[in-house]
Amino acid sequence: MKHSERIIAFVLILGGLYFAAGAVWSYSASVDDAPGNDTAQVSIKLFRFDPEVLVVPVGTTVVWSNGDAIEHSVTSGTPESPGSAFDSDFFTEGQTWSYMFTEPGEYPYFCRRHNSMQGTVRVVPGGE
Amino acid sequence: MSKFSKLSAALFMGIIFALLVSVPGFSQEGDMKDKMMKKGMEMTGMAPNSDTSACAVRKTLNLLLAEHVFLGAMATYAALNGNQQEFDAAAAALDINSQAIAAANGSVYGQAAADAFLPLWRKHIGYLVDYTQAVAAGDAEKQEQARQNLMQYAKDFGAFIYSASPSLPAEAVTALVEEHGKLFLVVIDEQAAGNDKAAFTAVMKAADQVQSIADAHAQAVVQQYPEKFQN
Repeated sequence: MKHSERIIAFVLILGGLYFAAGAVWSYSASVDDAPGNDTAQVSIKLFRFDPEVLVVPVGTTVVWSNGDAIEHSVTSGTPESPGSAFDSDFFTEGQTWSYMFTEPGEYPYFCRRHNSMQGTVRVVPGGE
Repeated sequence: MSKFSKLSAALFMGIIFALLVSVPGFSQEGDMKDKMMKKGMEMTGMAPNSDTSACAVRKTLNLLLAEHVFLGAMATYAALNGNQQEFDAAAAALDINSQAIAAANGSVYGQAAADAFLPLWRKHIGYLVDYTQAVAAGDAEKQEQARQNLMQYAKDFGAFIYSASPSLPAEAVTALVEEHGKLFLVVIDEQAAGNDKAAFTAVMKAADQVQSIADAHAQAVVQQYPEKFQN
């Protein structure tokens, strides 16, 4: 093989390796960037949270979806004793709100406007 | 009077009393509650020998909502006149009616819906009580707060019914419930002012108006669940 052909071949191989590395890197980055945390859904419909009690492992992002034509909130605690862990503020039909639970425990929550709407997220250590 | 006559009279009165309490309308509270709940469940044939026609749905809802108006008016009248015993009795009957309305909704939409409906329904009764107490106390600020709470409740109720029966636009139901609230406030105002004739006229108007809610709801339910209703 001539010297120039070797150079061309070398460049082509390097280029191929470069693109291949990029693709792998992108894939890896996608995998790394992808929410390695699980997600779980809570539906808000007919003025209730469904499921009422949700059990998730640590690191789960819970997504509440409002299917009622009125604003609801997802506020930690109880109507008698509101908490400070999280408060979605009010969101309406078609909107969602998410919260990632990073510590095990029992997290009651309610709607600030409709106090009879109450639910619980039970966060268990990962792997259980 | 001889002892025998006295005893006979006592036995006779006892028999009459026993007959009376066995007649519908003279039932104990528990029996009344069972009757009301059965009435609510009759809407979809959950009760034995019930009429499951579409007409029965309308009839049931109209009856329950009209009862709601009349019992509510009795409760507010008693409260405004400081008659605690009468108020407690009327409020208890009103709550039985509320449970029957929730049961009626539950028989169509499911128990979870009934469980969500009842506290919501009771809330608006609470606002009417708040308004009544504010009127009695001459507290204009609390009257206005109660009125605003009632109007917000109308939005809640409209949204609830829309979630349950999407053929009923939330705004339309909200408007009907707002009207219901406003008419009932007139009842309370007239009762408080001692305008008995005007108060009764307002009660009749409110009872007439809730038919709009009942009829619309009944029609939507029958169309949504044709398999549950005959004819």
